[in-house]
Amino acid sequence: MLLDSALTLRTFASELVLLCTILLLLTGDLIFHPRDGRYCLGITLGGLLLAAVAALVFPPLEPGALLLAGLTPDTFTVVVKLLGFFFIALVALLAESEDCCRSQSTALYGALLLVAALVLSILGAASDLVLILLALDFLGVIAYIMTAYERVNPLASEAALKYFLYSATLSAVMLFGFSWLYGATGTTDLAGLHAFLDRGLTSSALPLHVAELEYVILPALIMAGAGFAMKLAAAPFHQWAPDAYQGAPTASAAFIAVIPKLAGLATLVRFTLTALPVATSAHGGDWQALLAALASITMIVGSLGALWQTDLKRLLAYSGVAQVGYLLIGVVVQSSTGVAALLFYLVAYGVASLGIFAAIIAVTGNSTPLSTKISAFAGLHQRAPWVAFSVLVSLLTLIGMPLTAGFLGKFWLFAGALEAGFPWLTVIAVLSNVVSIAYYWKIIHAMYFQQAHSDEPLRISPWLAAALGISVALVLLLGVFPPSGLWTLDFRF
Amino acid sequence: MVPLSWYLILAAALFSIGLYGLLARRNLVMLLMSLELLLNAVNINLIAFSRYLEEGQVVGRVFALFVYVIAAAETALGLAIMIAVWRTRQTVAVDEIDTLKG
Repeated sequence: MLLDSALTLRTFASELVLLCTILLLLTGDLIFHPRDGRYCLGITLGGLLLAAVAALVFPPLEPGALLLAGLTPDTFTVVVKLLGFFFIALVALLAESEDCCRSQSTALYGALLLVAALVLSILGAASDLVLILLALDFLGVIAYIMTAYERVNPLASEAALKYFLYSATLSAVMLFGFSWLYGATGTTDLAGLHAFLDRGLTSSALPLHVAELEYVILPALIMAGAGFAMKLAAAPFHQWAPDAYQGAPTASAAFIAVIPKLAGLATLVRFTLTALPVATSAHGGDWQALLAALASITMIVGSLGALWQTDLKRLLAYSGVAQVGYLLIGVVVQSSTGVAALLFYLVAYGVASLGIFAAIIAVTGNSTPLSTKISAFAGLHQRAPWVAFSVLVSLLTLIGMPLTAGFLGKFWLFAGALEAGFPWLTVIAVLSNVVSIAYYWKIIHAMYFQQAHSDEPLRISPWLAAALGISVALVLLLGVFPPSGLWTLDFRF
Repeated sequence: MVPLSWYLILAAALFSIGLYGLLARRNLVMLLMSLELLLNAVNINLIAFSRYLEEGQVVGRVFALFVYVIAAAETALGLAIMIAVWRTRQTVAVDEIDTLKG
């Protein structure tokens, strides 16, 4: 049902703001050719800020109120939007400090980031398979472009190629699953899917017989889930991640580390909580068990893979895989509190990762040839004590040290797995967390206990300093004063 | 009328051929063509289902249109990445593009 057009426009306020900012940025770049990237950064950040304000000022609709076919803006959408805008603003700060992201034009990278924000805000509300597909693939396209951004670097194009082939193949597999879901249920709407799956597999309007449907639905859902897992870099669909992180410009790697994971998790949460039958119904336990298996495999593969890495970005890629395993627990739990814990830990993970990537840019960003070995961080404490301290705080939150945001997030997630009846998942998560200390310690050891290659103090750009400061402040603040309002938010679907 | 299952079998066969091509071929152009096969298999599925579902079902056909959009965008981007790879390495054989590992 279509609401009146004024209401529709109001709900799209933040998307309209983003669209105007993109046009402003691109046309301004054509007309004025700004040599100074600060104008473009200012416009990018201003657009994101305005869009965030617009998302807050115009409240979401009641849960379940259909705005346009396929879009369901609700509280969850607003939170996903705000998180996405915030992360993208941090990535913009990082990109401003990296030479290769400014080499072709000062506005292009910012425009790409804004398009990503636009896609993300649509994805947050998408409740139809067609829109989910479009938004996920569009975000993928942006991520490939950002990976290949450094055209003269053979590693960047190789990384983009691997990312593209892997991602496009699994998107096609996901689509094949979608086509079967459509054929089996006659609808692409998530709520319609839910009605069908919950009621039991009977419907007279369909070309397939009930007995055939039983065989089709589960494989189709697994194919769709494989596509989502690829976006998240969840094992066993994570192989692209280390190569993409290593070859991409560091700011793009920071983008890939956070935004596709946010997008994939948002889609997965909405898909499982809207379309799949509730956990207590006949087939409900199956999805939970499958997702729990995915989460545990992801944690194990990520932790073991990270142990052997000597390259910082590859290490972060594998540790990111393990972190996705923890985040997936929030989906397994299938409740409003699970979603809240997931979002809280996503903030901790995203901010801490972006902080570490900012430090990588600070240390290695403009050196040639680019080396991101862990030894690049050697003696960082002597050269730049504050940068070393902020990396330390970020690593501690990823480990889950008390008084940091990571501890609370992990505590809620692991406790949620216990409550949902998956004690073994909690055990695997805790073990994987213990292993993570071993590989994160390698970075801490290099920073504080190894001799620096050079004595000269490290100079970092104000943008990087801002990004590092925001990340440390947020990690510590959220760890000491967790937002109590989080639990009052209503994540019904 | 041709039964629905024939279309579904055709789509599944195309999809399998595409997957085989992706795994077995080493030239990037062939890989891109295999990707196209996968997406075309999806489209056959969608169109066939929308034809055999109840009358007036257009969702499947609209879905197929959007799949074409995705396919076009991805192919364009794949070709662009391929050119970038060619310029830096003078090869498009996937088994020679193996610098990143570990």
